[in-house]
Amino acid sequence: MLEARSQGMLRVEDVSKSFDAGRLVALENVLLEARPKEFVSLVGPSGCGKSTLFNIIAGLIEPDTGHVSLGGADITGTTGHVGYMLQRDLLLPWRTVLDNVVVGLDVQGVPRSTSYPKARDLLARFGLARFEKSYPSALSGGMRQRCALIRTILYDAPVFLLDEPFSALDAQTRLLMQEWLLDVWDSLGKTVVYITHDVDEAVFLSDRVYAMSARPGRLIASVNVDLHRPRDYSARLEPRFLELKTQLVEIIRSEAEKSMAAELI
Amino acid sequence: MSAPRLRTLAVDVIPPLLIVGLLVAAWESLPSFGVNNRVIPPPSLVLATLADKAGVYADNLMTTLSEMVIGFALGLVVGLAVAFATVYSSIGRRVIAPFVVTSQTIPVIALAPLLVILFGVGIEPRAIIVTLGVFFPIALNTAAGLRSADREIVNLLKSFGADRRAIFRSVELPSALPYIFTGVQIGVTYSVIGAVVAEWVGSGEGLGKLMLLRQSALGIELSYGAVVLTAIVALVLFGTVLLIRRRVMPWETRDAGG
Repeated sequence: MLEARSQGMLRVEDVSKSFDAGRLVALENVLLEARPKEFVSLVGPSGCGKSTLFNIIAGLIEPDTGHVSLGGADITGTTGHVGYMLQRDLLLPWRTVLDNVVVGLDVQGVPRSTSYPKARDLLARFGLARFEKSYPSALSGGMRQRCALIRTILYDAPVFLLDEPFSALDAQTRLLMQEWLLDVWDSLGKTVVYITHDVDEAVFLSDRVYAMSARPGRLIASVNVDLHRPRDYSARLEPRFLELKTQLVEIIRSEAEKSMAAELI
Repeated sequence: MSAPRLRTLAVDVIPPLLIVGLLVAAWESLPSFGVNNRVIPPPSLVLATLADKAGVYADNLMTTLSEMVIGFALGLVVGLAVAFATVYSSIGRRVIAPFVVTSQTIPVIALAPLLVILFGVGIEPRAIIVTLGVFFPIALNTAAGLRSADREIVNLLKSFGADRRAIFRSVELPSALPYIFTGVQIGVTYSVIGAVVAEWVGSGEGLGKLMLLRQSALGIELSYGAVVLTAIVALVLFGTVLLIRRRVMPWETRDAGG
């Protein structure tokens, strides 16, 4: 339905980006890789340039130096290769649930006769079938984020970029959404780059977790998460989970302390 | 009748009717407190006059309505055009904005004789006075609406590969709709005032003229009848715009739009 997109390794090579005529360095020589179907998370203190990196991968802004490539093809500054999802659901208030989830396909010129059946399948799978004719204002926060996820799935890009998608939800809904996401990821075989400041969430979801430094943002560590798959809530109770979490928390804490010390000087 | 229906009746319908009823009753009882019928005619007299002089009112109503409809339609077109030109073209903004603001500073009383000289004694000069008042709130609100689109939603659509046109159609225009309708609601209300004032300062017939003539003559109830009719026209027009608003934007909550 969409034009063929390159599958394969997502590479962020040596990307730097500064704002305000170089006074604010957001990213410095960032190197990031995600293998096909890998679930990679980025954790770091707030203001570390995570969202800038995200916008560069999405092609919405161009880096000062460096490249983004997918399956060997340079996709720096070009859109349409990733499906993304933010903390805000970004649903269009004037579209019904059904029309909202197909918006990416509408833009691509896919006829509704093709997109609607796919959308209805997913809405049913996510327990939203009854709400297809509702407007977003009638939905709860969790339901709205499920719509946003369905919109991302329907767009069917090879890479999903998720920027703190569940951080605005209450704790119970967030845990459910995380398990749903793992289900979806497992069945779709997409590469996921997940941004969060929640170490617990990063370890639970990911194959690999990158830790980012405070500004200027650099990737300072990559930790492999060797917990078994598929995972459910019980994974959080395993000793190995705690070890990995501790390891990451220590890396991030020392980074946070460094940046606080730097601010004091 | 269902429970929510009953509730609507109790909360939304009965209190305003009661208040209007009380006011009308108080007005009607004024003569018994010694207020002269010639100064404040009671509602029964005004209604009787409206019925008696239905022909006169109908003729004048048609004139005023024509001024309003032509003036409003023109004002809508000009208002939307000005908003698009100023939002989507920086040259448009620099060239048009000073004229738009200046147009609002010229008093109608100074403009009316000039318009009569330019356009004659027909309804054209009065329609143009209506247009001048109507286009401004529509232009201002529409421009604000077109700039109100959510940046992150625009980015999301860009990431899907949306071009300029798709972003306009899918995000900017629907974001602007509530603002456009608010501008139209202000504009349609103004068109009533505009037409009446245009008749006062200009020539010809109309409900405004009727109000003015009869205040100085004997039958002041004729003047009151014109005021009541004008108010009804304004309410009907405002209500119509509100109905269209709810039709066009079913996603809006019921309280929106006033």
